[in-house]
Amino acid sequence: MTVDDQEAVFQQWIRNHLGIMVKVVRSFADVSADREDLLQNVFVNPWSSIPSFRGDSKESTWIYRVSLQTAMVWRRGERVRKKHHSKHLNEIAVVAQSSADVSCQTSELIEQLYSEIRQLPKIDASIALMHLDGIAYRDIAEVLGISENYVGVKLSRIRKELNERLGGTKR
Amino acid sequence: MSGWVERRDDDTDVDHRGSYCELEINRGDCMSFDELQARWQAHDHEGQLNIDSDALLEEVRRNQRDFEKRMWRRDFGEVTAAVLVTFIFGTLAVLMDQWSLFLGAAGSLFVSIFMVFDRLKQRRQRTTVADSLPSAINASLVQVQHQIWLLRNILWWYLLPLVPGLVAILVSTSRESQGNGLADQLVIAFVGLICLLAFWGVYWINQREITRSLEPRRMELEELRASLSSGGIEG
Repeated sequence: MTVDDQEAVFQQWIRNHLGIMVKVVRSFADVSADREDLLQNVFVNPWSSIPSFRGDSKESTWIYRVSLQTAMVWRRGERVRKKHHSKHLNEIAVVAQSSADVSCQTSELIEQLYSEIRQLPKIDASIALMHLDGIAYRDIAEVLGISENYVGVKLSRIRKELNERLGGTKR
Repeated sequence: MSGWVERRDDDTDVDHRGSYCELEINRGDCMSFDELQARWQAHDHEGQLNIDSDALLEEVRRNQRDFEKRMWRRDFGEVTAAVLVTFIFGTLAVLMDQWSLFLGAAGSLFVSIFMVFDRLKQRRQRTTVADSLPSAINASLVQVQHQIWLLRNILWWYLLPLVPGLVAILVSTSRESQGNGLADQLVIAFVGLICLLAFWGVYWINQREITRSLEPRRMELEELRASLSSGGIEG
């Protein structure tokens, strides 16, 4: 794959799947500075992964895989130790900040959901996020490297937990 | 969608279909998970986030280059420092023909060789973003465990190899200056004490790093790996 091809694919992914990256970031980081840091990492890894993408899985599944992989091993607060962020990366962080600002304007329902997802263990948060996005069990299993049955078991627990956390005890 | 309602001890009803009443109190009804999912999918999660993909591409490439440079500089800096100390000790030993300096050079040479081998081994084990999630978590865990091992054993591969040379230099200097009076001996003893404190400081800082940062990170990654393992890893 030539560099031009890689660039074209990256730009197409950003156009078509930016939402996935934003959702992953908002599901794993709540503070604006953490979001900036995670977003920077989430942008870099899809770019690096392009030569390995052979089209065996859907693009969206691949982006989820790479973004969640980044988010899972990302460590909150580690940004404090990074002293080498370039000026340009800080400019991207401004973009991330605007993402955080937008969150204030979104409906309470979605914000509350993000907040509850962030309370879940990381694996459960990933499953919940993909399930809400309508990703098939098979694809969730592929992204996380677990069995489809386990996805089903986990999801029933997660749905119940979300129900309880969101106050679903009244009727 | 079928479901049921059970009575709980606190006399409230739980709808196992998955209802989200608090969110829909105004409507006086509960929302099913499917409705919630539909709203989630209809929602504009990107909001007003507009990204210039050309500028972003340039930044991503710059970030990657910076990361690689940073890693290279770090490895180069650490190894160069050790090699430089070896070179200085070696040159002084040859020029002054002192056995104590040869011992110092040998100690720092050992540290340099250890660091070079360790860096090369770590570079080979570096994971790629295309690896599966369990592989990525495992790779991170291996890195953290290795870091813990390095810091925990810093006494053996970094501090102790330097001690014989340092002690030899101090002892030989002390012998040579025996006729110069007590003041010189006190200065040498003071230098020895400073070295001892510096060694203790290096050891203490590294052990604190393990407790404060690396152990919690290792536990976090092990929990992640365990939660994936219990689901039957496929990748």
